[in-house]
Amino acid sequence: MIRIGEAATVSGISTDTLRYYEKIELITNVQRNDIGVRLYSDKDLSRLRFIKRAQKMRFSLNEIGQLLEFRENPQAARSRVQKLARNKLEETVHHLEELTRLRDELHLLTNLCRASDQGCPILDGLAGNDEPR
Amino acid sequence: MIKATDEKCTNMTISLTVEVLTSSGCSRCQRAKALAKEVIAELDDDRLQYREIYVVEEIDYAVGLGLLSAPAIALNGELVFPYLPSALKLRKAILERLE
Repeated sequence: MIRIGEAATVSGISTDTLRYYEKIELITNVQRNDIGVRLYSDKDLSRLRFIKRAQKMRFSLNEIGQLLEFRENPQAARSRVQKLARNKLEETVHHLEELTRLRDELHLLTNLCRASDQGCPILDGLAGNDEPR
Repeated sequence: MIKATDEKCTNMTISLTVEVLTSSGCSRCQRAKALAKEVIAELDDDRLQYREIYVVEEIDYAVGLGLLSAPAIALNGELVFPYLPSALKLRKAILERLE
């Protein structure tokens, strides 16, 4: 069992965030010693690793809460987890398309800027410049 | 009656818009515009239309074409010349599409 400072170091999650996770019940039943100091078990740390991985996959805290519930009973939750993951996949594909579009726009604009012999077309466009093109 | 409709459809399909994609501060863009206008004038065909696209103002369209720099020339929404072509190449590409 480790204290909150060490749990923060091990998990890479700040102590404030660890307390917050407890408050919103992402982490439950964190033990306390006689003087009320939090003590994190291996199981708690495993949960924290799971939360962090899920966040990297862009699940919201609310969704992570659901995933953690599913995690307690994986067989029963199978179809619900699949649905949640499928929704997340669709969101990710959409997000990726938007990012790809943004990348292409920026690529084009930086090329135009580099090739321009007077000023930068990006700024002209923003300023609504009416000068001859 | 049917024949007339068919003819109308055919004529609609073979009209061609020559789009010159330009940007400010781009000296070659002026050359691209002049070139496209000259070739269109030479061909003297009613089915040809000319359009200038200022990339920054129509960035979505330009990105959709796959444009990476200016000038460039698209024919009916297809980026055929992502660079300044010769008059010969532009004329050939237009005629191929009008056949």
